[in-house]
Amino acid sequence: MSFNSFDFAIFLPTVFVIYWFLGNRRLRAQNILLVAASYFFYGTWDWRFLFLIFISSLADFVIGGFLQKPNKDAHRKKLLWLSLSLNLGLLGFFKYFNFFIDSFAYTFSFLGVTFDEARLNILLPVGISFYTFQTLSYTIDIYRRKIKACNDPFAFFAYVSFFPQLVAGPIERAKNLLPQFTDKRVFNYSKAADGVRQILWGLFKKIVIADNCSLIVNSIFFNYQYEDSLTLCLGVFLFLFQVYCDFSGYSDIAIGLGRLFGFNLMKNFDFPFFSRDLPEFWKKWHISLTSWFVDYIYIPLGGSRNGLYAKVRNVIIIFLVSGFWHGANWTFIFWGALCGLTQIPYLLLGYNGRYLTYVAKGRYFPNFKELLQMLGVITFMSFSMIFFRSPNISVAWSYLIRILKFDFSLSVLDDYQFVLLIMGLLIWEWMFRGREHGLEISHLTTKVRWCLYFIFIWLILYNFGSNQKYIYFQF
Amino acid sequence: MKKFINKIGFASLGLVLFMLFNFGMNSYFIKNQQTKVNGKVLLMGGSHINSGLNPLYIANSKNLATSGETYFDTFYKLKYLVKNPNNDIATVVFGFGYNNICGLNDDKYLKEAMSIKYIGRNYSIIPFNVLNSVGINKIGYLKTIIRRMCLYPSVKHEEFLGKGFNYRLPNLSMSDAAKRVKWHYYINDKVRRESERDIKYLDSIINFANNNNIELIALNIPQRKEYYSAIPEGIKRKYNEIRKSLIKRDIRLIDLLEMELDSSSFANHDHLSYKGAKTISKIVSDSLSGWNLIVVSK
Repeated sequence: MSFNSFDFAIFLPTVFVIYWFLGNRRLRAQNILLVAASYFFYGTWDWRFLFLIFISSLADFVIGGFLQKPNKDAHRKKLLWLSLSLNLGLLGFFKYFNFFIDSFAYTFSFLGVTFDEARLNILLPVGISFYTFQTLSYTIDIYRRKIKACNDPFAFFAYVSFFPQLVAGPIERAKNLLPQFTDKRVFNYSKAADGVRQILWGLFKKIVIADNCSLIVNSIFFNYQYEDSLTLCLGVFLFLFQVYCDFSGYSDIAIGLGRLFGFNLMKNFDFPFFSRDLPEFWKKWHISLTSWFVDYIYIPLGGSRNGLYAKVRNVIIIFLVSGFWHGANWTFIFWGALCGLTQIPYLLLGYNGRYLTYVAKGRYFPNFKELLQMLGVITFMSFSMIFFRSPNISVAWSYLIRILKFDFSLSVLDDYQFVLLIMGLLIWEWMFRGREHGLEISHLTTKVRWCLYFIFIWLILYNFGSNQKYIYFQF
Repeated sequence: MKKFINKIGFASLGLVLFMLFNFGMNSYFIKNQQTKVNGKVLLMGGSHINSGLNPLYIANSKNLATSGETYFDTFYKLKYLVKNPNNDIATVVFGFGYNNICGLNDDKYLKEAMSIKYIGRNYSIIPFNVLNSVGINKIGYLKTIIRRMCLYPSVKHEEFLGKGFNYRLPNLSMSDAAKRVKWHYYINDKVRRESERDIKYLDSIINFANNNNIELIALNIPQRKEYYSAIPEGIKRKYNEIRKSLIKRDIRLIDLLEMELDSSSFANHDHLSYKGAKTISKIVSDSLSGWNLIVVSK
């Protein structure tokens, strides 16, 4: 069941009405309902996935309880390793087993040694990378004594499986989300209304922009050997916007749904195309994952405390891990490495983190320098996406080489409507930068708001057909 | 909470009323719609005909083929067009290849993503009860009807006509022939059965054409040997049976499948390029004018 499906349109109001009907006095009943609804939601993909999430939740709940007790450090460390091994073991097996087997066999084939590859027909459980990281944050934070263990199993199971963000994030920290399951929730009209607006904005990005872009992007990447350079460039630009609208659209829907149920989920995208350099871009793109890596990998590695060399090394490591997190393919690792390497000049020059406020704050338009900077960021990210989208490295290289042949034709003009669509998106987002989401219009008059709602709903219904899967479900 | 539910309810009601109004308007327009086609020779079928016959080279013809069109679709399209007394249809050239009888066609109204495409074309000419009787994806149907009928009033509902000759079909590439064969003729690594529905509707097309004095010409366009030689034997046997029955029923058959063309005449393994379409269109044109020069059997 996906957010952009008819099934979900029935599921959501049903759960919503029962949830608030239970009232905020029956907190436990609400949590039980959320667990049941989330397990139902997740089970619609494949009921076998439920065992995994159940085992992962149960194990971390129990381990968390033991970690809380005043044990010796060595004992606590063992418990932490148990949690890490279990969670990363499941993730490694389901997501990376075949990748390691293939890579192992490929490497040894150069030495003339061949193996009968023991590939397994493994089904990748949807969202495993997301909820694994979420449960890990719980045990690690208890180990670091930053939070206390949760005593209520239903609250904890609801935290791990909360359906709005179960499949593709935002990856929540236990410190932020778990207390919200143990505290009373009160229905707040303006919060719920803004949640609906954010859902609408997320659906618009997903259905109207991402799904439409996917049609042409798929066609260009499928036929890249026969396309001219301009069309191939259009393909990579549109793919960047497709990924953005697909994933940030999902995040907006998740956050909006959370607000409908009285929760505050963390922001995952902060208008990343209005970034003046790459470090700023990464602060605004998939924030929950980037900050997870910073908290649980970068800082434990020493962060920026041990000099410039260590800082550069640590940054490269988190980008490599981030690439590998996206998928069991060398293309993702290469993409991660590329993004990591491009951070080095900023680190060496001390430019990392020089932009603390959003671009052109207090002005309607950016200046020429800012415009060029933003175009530069978009261009680099688009071209890096060739590796993200290609099935393997050799296809990615061929794609790049074909672009560099500089054979231009005007056939690209046939697809002008896609360019207009993206321009429209950028202009709209520009007006809303600095706000929570692209449809935060509570300051407008009622008439204007309802007109905008109608236009957005109309556009969503008009484009509601191709029903493309969310790209990040595969991760 | 009450205020929130009231507002959502009010907005939903308004939306439903708006959609019902448009649905009513569009139903009225469809009921009174009469589609005129300019051409005595209609070129009908799927993407092979859509990209393979250029009406520029066939006198008085119109290419009404649409990608993936099945005999089921063609039958209702033809029936609808003949209903209009202003249309003067003398000849129909239709695609007759292995793919036209393959079981993939049965999925076209059953799988949600595909059904949206096909229902989106034919919702105004194929009644719901007919679609339902052959098997249809209800979600796909609902989505299509909302989009085509409920969002704005439109006096024209003629998507079934297609967009005419189109040699630039999307998703065409010289990818592996085996992939194309697998797509058409296999499911879960097993050979698909032939489509009984489409074989039945081919028969209906023939009967309908006979009753309305329309000459039928079956055309099998050239394909690459790597493609057609990999088609499963079961499909080929069934195809040959039907082929014989067509000839018995005096349907003219232009079978160019094994005709050798240079590689630039193909867009992929089973579709022609602009150049290939020009060559084949001229052959069909000659055949229509009585110059039965090439591989024409009767």
